[in-house]
Amino acid sequence: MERVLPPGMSAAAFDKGLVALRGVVGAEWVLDSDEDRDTYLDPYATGNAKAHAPSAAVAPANLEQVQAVMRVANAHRLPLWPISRGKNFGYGGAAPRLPGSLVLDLGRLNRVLEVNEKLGYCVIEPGVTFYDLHEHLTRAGIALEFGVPNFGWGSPVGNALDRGFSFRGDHSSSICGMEVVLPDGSVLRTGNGAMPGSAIWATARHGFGPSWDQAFVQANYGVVTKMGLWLHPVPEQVISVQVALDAQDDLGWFVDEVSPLLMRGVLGGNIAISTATNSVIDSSQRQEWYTGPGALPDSVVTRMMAERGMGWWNGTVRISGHEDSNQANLNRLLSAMGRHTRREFQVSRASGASQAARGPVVTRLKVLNWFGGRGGHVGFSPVMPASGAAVLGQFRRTKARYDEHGIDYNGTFYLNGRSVTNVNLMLINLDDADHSARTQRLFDVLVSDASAQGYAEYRTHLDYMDAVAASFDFNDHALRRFNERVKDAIDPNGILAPGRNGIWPSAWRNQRGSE
Amino acid sequence: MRAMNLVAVAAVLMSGLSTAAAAAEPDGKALYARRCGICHFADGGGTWMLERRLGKSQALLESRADLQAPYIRLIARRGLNGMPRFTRVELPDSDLEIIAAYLTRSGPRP
Repeated sequence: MERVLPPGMSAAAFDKGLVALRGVVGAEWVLDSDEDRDTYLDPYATGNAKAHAPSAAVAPANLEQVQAVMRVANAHRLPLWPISRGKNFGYGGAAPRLPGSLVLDLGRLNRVLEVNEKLGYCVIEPGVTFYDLHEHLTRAGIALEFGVPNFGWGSPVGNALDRGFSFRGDHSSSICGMEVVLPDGSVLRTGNGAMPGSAIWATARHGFGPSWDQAFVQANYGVVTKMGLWLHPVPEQVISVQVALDAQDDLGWFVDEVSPLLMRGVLGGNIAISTATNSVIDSSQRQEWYTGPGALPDSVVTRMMAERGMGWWNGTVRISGHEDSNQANLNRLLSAMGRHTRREFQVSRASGASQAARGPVVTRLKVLNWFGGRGGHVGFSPVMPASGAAVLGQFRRTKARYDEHGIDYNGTFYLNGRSVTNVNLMLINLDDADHSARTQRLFDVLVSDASAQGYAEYRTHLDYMDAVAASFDFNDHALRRFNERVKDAIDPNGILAPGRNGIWPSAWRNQRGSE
Repeated sequence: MRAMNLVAVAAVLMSGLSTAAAAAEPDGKALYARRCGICHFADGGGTWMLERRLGKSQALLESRADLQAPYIRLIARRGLNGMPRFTRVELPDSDLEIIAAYLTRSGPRP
């Protein structure tokens, strides 16, 4: 793809910046061929992928080079878009919010710096993948694990910085201490890391005074070059309960029964419950089920349930811990569900070590084959209170919108205890412009519907960052104004990730809402 | 349609590159496992998708005898259907060459 420059920048000025960057990282690691630019585009964009086209990429090898890159970016007013592994698929991948930004690819900072088995933490760089971390732990025989999302080739650091989660829950809550390069190129260590030689940087969250770790999550205030992450001791035993609920309305009582068990610690992490379609879309193609007009009819979903022995809602409840307490917790779960259904649920037991040994996968990518050609996906993910009535209402409204737009409904509700995160997957046929356009219209209306209920998204695609940020508009957008005052104070030239999560520096504020 | 175009482009690019297959095989196998295996081993998503598109005999890349190095390079950098593109940071040219040599080797196949 031909070069797209930052808005308003001349080719000559941009080229001077590239020369300076080559002086920092070496010519090999300034990637500015047409082919290189293509590799940083969002491969699954619903709209125009070029609306988020990078101008080039720069890949420093270490902290000092990251600092030097920031200084060059300030001197030449180059907007940078940092990525860890660039696998934020469904949310834009490696592509920048502002077209013409330079991708700051941190993939070469890929060291596991420390793992402490006794205290259950690691300190890693952003280029480390879930797979790398798993391999490191396995090879060293360390009985610790970290929750892995659907795609194991991503970065634990990047995932935590975008509030990704797994069955272990919200990964940003595992962050304990960071090393951050600020937009001026200076280095900050958060929490106890601010004390040189700290013995508790990655074990005790708060230092003295404000805690800044979470200020760098879903923000554009600094580039994280090291992160402490809490790992989980491998449990003695894992019990898996295969839950299948036959009726759409069963979702309500399930939320009301299971959420208190999460709040009381009977269950841990989060519990996912998905439509039957969720396991059909990654093991078959649409044409095997339905070739008619519009969205998949409920009658087809009923056929899927019958042929696969599934319920309308399906999920695996994991109970992990010591064998004796697991059995007691299983009894509590079965008793709670038994108040509403006579269905027998399949229960299996395995050692925690055998579960941990499985390791990360990326098999979920198979969903992209649903239409048979070029597949894409985006997720719409609002958060609501853990009330059966609220969740059921959200499901019914959302499904009706999917049906209205002729898009196949596929929803998962992640029960977190006090809240429920609803990830609605939209699979897109990128070979069908009308299908892509309908998906975009559906997304717009879902944002608006959720906002009317007081529900916001926990994370979103580049295309919707401004729209979602705008829904946080208490007191005339007081939060956004505060975020941008901070941004302008620490990044006066607006070089770092302009527009990320709707935070625009003054230098680029006129780009808010731009495509 | 896009796949057919890529095949056509690859055919044009094929220039009878010889590969030092035997020498590269140990590194190539390990690199392939590390960089590609997560999708392209027997239970991977890439294998599943290839089986749907081309049939079982063409699904496992390691077993195929018809792959050409320029085509492998092209798909790694441009992606294909559900497979995303790989940057030169994630998959450096040098690694890609070794993997291509491994997949186009003349030796025994699993």
